[in-house]
Amino acid sequence: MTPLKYAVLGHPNEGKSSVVSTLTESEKVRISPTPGQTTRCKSYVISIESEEVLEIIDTPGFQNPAATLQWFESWQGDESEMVDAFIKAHQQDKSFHHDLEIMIPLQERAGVLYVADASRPLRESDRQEMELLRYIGLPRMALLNCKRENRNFLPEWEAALKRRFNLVREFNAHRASFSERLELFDAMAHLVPEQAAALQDIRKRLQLEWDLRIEESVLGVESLLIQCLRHQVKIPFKEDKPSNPQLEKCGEKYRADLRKFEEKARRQWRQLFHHESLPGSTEGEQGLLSEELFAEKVWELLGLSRSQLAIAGAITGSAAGAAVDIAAGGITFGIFTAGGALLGGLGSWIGGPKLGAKRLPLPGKRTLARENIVVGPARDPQLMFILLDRSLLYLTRLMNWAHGQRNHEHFLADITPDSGLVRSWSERQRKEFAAWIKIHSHPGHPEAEKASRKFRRQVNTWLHSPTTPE
Amino acid sequence: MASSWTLQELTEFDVRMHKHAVDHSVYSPELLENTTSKSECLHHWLLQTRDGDTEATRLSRVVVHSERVLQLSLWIFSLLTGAATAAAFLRYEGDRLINISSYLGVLVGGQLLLLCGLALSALLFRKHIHSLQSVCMPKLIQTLPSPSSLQAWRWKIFSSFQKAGIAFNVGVLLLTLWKVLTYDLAFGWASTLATDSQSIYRIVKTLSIPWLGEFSPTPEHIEQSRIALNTGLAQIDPASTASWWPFLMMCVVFYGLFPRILLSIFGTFKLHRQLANPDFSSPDCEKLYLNLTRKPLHFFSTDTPSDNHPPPKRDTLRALVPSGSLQLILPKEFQDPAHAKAFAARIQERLKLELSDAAKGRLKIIEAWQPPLEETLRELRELRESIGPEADILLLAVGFPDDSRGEFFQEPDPQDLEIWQSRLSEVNDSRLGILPWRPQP
Repeated sequence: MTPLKYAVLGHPNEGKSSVVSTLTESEKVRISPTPGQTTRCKSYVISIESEEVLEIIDTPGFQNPAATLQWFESWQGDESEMVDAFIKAHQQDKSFHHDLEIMIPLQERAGVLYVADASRPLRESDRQEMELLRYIGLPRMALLNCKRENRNFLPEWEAALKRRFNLVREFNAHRASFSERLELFDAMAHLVPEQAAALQDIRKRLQLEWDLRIEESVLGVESLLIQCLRHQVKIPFKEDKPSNPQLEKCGEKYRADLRKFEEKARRQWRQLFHHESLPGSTEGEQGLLSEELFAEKVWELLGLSRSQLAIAGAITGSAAGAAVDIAAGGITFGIFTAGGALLGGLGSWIGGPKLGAKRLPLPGKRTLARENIVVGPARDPQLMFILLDRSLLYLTRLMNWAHGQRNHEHFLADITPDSGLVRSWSERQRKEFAAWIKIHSHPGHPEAEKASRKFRRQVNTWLHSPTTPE
Repeated sequence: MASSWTLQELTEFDVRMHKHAVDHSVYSPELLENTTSKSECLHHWLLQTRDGDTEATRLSRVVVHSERVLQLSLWIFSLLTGAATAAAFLRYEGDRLINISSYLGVLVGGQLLLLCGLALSALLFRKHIHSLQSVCMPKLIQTLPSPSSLQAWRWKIFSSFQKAGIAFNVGVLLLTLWKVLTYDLAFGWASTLATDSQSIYRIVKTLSIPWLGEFSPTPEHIEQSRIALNTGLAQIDPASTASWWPFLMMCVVFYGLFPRILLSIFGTFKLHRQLANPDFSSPDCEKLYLNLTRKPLHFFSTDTPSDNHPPPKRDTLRALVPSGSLQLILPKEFQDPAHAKAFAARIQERLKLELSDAAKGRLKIIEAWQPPLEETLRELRELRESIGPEADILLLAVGFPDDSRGEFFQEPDPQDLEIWQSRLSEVNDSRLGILPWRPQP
């Protein structure tokens, strides 16, 4: 089957390459703020099971709209031969090089996606380009790609475009989310009715691919959490007892390992969403996700809040106290339960999230052989809540980052939420995750599969949610 | 291809999953066609992607072989221990009868107690059993974060210990049989309490229910084999003291050997069930399976590397100081006469330029945010041809329209200005210059 062809056309520097990059999830599309950098047509193909199904063609910008329109208007011959004749007539004229390149996909009867930056005034050359495409008569859709915030010129553009195009859609190549990309495929299906079924198939496959990517990301999150949860660092020592520098070294190794695991997971997610060139962290930028895992600020804003930790501590304390009360046959009148709750709650309140980072490294302990300092496995559930928070924030950012947006230095820099996401979870959700932590602390727990299913479902639903904040 | 795993394969799978980078873009339609379950699919993947004698294969082979050697050593040790223990209880020098209570108490009662402890732990302290098992678990498996072979290894260790129990009981039985065949053994029983032989007979009858009461001493034999230290061995009937050995051996068989055989069969059954359907619910296994079964969707470009070469750097335009007055050329969008007149006056005032409709030189307004087109350059060349080589052409670069402060235009973006300067240098015109519009701050 020959792939469906769509050519992305427009004035120079309107964001055609950004549109192509976002639509085809390609980082290879060269995007430059300098106009005229695209000098030749370049095809970006979507293939399903080795079968090419859709070809999006990036083209240079129009360089001679007035002269080209004039030539077409003066054409006397058969309309079907018009484009061929134009190419033939201008083959030797170097100043028409870009315009001839544009004509190649039109000669092949590709659908037209005309990109216009509607945040600038409409000019005569724009009208000439629109008119020219109307003359050629191929199915065409206009994409309003507002590069700036200014929307004052939008009505003027819409009016001009609606007169000459079958469909007009707003599509910001720097911000388009996955659902907006799908909507564009829907619109393309309306553009050429005979291609509607094929485009719907592609749309369905893209949706499935997206769902599978999210599923794989969720597995990646769980894998990261389990790896960090069970991680241990052992450093042997020969003296009677380990020295402080040795303990510190062991703790530092533990922290470095966890940072490495997180970076590795982020790299895998970037590969999954075809964002290989995005940074894992941005040095020098102030952002919650750029900060290293054990930074004071991260422990303050992410994971459970001080009051949530106090409640969790109180519950654990009261459970321990209740065991003593029961063992005493009830003659203690629940004093230990109340005392345990109070101590647990107070302890968590005072030791709260701010001190969380300082609590690590976990207290070093000797193994039976009395020759190793051992740090880990993690006993503080807050670490898991923070890791989950960071993973979800990172993934949300990644999933919503359009490929046409190349200001990579802003990728993580401007994420400064007031708090993480798990703080907004319901009590039940937090309890379920706490149970997950307990079950996965050691491998081979009989409840592991059930707990994992629940966890995966919850994170998956959360990542699919349209209200997921960016 | 076999659909059930071997312990070595499962261990190799774990090693490959966690110690080596797994290529996750491994969709194979054949794999899907030939398999019906996740376990089968992953098994086929392992066998298909094996590339000779890899480190993972070697490592898993070493682990499984080491376990076999250890298991064999454990069997031999248990066999010898069983024989040695039995030998210790079956020492008979002719001066004192062998007390069946010691033999039964340690070799049967002790084992039954161990079994009860195991059952209790399985019900109440499962975690501690796992901790005990982890002592015997191969180090390699312990270092992996989520090994799929963990449960299989647990059952393997369990059944290995049960087989060691079998070897122990076999050792006890062989030694007892050997002693019976080659020595003159005399068994007896004793009790400080005034227990009569009928009570012992009832106990013996109860214990021998599993083998239907056969091979048990008769009440007379029991009565005759009572150890009474004050009367010595003279009163003892040799037939009665010899009648105990079949009963003792049957006790070891039914209360020592058979439970271990049953547990060993149970362990082996669980091991095989685990190998037939291993736990692949860990996120890494799920991820691999997802990628094996996911039909590939690719985005690729037909770009050749040469297409991505940056364009050559162009010269920038030289600065031009116009001599004499200039004729103003406004863009089509800006040709409202009143507006044009006011703007012309502002230019004269702000830029100190003399504007005249009769002047030969030209002052052309360009919107710098618009990229310079070939068509614009052509127009400039045509303008040069029409006005001659000596006249100045000055381009006044303006930004976006801005009437809010009566300034007509915003200041052009320096980057846009640079683009224009660079592009205009292609025209090769020494009397062509560009000037940015500077509105009142």
